[in-house]
Amino acid sequence: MRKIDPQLEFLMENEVEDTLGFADETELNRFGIEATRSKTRGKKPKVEVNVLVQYTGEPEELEKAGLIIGTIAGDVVTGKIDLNKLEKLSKMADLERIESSRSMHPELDLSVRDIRANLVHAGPPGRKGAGVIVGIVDTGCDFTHGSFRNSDGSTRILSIWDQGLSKARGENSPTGFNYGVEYSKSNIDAALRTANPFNSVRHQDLGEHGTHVAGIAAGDGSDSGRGVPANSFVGVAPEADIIVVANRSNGGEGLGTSSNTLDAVNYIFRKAAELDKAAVVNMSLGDNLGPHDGTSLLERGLDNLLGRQGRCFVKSAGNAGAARIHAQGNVVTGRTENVRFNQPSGDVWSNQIDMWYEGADRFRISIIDPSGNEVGPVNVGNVGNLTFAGGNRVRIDHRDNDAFNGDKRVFMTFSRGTASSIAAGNWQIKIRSLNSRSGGRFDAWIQRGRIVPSFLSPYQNRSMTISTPGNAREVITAANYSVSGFGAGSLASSSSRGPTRDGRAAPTLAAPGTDIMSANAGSNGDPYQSMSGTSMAAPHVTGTIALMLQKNPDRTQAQIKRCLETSAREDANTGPVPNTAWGAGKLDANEAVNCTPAVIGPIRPIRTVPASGCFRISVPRVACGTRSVVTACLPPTVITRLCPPKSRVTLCPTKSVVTICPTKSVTTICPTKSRVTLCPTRTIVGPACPTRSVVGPACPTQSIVTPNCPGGGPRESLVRCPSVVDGCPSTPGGCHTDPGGFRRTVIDPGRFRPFNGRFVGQEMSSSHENADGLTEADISALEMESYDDYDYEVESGHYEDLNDQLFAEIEESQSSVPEKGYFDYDDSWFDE
Amino acid sequence: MSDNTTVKYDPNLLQLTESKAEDTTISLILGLSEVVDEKQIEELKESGLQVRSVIGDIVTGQSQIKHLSKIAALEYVLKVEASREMDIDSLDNILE
Repeated sequence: MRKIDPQLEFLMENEVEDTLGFADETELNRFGIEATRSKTRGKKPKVEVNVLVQYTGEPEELEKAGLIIGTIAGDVVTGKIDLNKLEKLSKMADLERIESSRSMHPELDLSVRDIRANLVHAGPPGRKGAGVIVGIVDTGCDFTHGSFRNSDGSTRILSIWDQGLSKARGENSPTGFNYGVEYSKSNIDAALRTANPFNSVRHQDLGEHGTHVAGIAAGDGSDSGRGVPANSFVGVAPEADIIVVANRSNGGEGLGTSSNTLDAVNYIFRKAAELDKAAVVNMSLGDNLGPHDGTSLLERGLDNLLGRQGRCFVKSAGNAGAARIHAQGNVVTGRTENVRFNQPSGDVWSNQIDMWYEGADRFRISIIDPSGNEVGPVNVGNVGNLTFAGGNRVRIDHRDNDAFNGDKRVFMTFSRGTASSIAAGNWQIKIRSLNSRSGGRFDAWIQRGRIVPSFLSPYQNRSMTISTPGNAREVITAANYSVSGFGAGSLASSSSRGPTRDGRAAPTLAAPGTDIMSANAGSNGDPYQSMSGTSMAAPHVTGTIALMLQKNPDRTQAQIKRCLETSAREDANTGPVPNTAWGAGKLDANEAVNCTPAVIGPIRPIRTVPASGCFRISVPRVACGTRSVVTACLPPTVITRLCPPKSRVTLCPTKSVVTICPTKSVTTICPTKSRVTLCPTRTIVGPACPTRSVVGPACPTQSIVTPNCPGGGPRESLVRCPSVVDGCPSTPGGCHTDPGGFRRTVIDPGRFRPFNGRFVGQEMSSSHENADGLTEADISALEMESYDDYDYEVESGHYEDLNDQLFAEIEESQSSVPEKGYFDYDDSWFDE
Repeated sequence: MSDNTTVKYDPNLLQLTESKAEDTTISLILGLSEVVDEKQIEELKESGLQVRSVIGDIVTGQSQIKHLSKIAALEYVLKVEASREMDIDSLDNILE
């Protein structure tokens, strides 16, 4: 196999023949290679090229071959070398590949085109994320940047929460959080009208990372820069609203940031709920600790926050694909395996290795330093603070029976101790199996740091390198591929690989992340800069989800994820998908949006329903230019879940919730099976939320003709009953008594979203779960049914055969409580 | 680790409790055995936790080290994790 990339080979051949004829290094760079050409008087010009080398041997050998090393990142080494020495370098045994460090022409517009988001922007109908919130949990965002401002100079940012700031006079923390400073849109707008906006809004993105990420997801590229006109570097959802959380710690409010991360995501979803908007949160941060099976507390917390309509979360997969931070192997009972890792020199900081193995197995752990000194062993349930002869120390914390997965954990912290640094060289983790009942498998990860070791063969393993919290069950993770330059279309070797430790597929899919040009924080320099990594891939997915949510703000994370996966592209680079490198393939924003069903009917949800009696729903003129057909109270056929006292009842007659568009709609009603959840109220007396299975009659059809409707598919307006998270009491005696349903329970204020084409009964059932006596399989089946089948229109008629006694009770209650009225589009209640 | 409360600490937190002063404030994530209710939130607060987010069976907050044992002693508290640094997933800090 040829180890040198074609451009370098071309350069080498022509240099030998001296036919290059490049006037200067600018010409060389135009050729596509980062190179310098120096000419010493009387001598032939010398050409040096910047290269990336994939190499598994000792770095010193590279230097001997003439490479001036820049950076070592796992098995990738960057550096500069004389063109004449390349051939010698390529013959090294441990060298797999040499690539030129190309002069990239990174452009966000290229990546936006590559994911076909430009087609979504163009439409028709054009969608650019309007009305959807893109949440950025990162280093912050330069709110003065033109990409995040409207044409009148006002900000597109709804709020900024800088978690690292301490409150100054007149500043506040967000409600419910006692740290950091929150700036509202009006604060930001006021600041932008001043000469120095940072005097009043003190938030600054000193790390620049968050600004870049935000620019990809939602920047509008309205500043010119990099020698190109305005509107060149347009993000994926350039009309989305933005909420920024600078995920920081100021020390005084508590060490570390992972706890703050949960607060950040919670804050964004709360804000979105207050504004009745859908939100997608991007997190291009992470670390390597944890069980990598989704049971870390951060991951469980994120899962708990998701599941509701209009809430999505995207995480970068991580850049550990080539960093050798994961080791995996098996130890047979009674045997010992030594897991080797290489410690670079000059490391004065502590390093951590987090190892997990099956709860039924039992290991004993010792450590051997590069000089052969051994400390330990440390048995399960013990902590060993051990010192080596040279002064280095290791702490081994050997845990039993993790509370959330039952596994055992060995947490090792290496420090220099009394030595000047951690000894360089090859260390060993000695694993002695006392019992490998479950197979003796172990997985270990090296935590990030300034200087970190790397695992060596045979246990080094690039799989399962998705960074935490990317292993959460609900989270969407993005891998990184390039869209320009040599190797365009291929996956970055650094992109972390799946699956999760418990065998679930990961990453979710791949998006452009290499040499992406996006917003640059700070007033100095160009408004745009290039960055690389899965950090840049994730916001392409985030922006795409904003486009999907613009089309349908009711979609859940699971539904969005399914569409992203089914619409992802497979090509020669991805190979057969899904796989553990690319996930489902390359992001295709256009197909993902096409996969997303549009909101059917413009009706808004009912927030508060009168205690009993009939009411009307008024359908606004938004989509069809017509109003709903509203009928008087007839024998009730639509029954929503009743959860007194907060939410009440929707009891309406057959035709009261209606099909309104198009002009000729034929509605098929009465599916053969439906479930209805009935909860007690004053009008329906009964124990806590029983579940009924209702078999409808043969499906009749119903034609409802409404005048003056423009074209379009059938539309319906449905009354959606409140779910557990939408205001039902959690107290005993109410509807929500089932802790098993907590994954759909969020503590912040509930909201209703339009309910489109799904069974009321199914929604009720899924939110009641055990309290309704439904099994998980029942719920799953119902949810699948509701997600997948949008073709039928159901609201009236499908509960018609509820027993007569129930109807009688309802009718009686209606007649006794004659409150009537209707909700209009703005959710206001109007008395009839 | 014979103490029933410290076994609930994650390894990083255990190290912090051994190396930092008792009045050091630490941001925490708590894993509970069930979806937390109002009474339990009050108990957590009374034990010294300044509650921030309540997310099903996960609670975030902050506490001084001296209060940790009381918090961890609550029966429904299964795990107490010290907040740790989340690092950016950009390559630009290593490959320039």
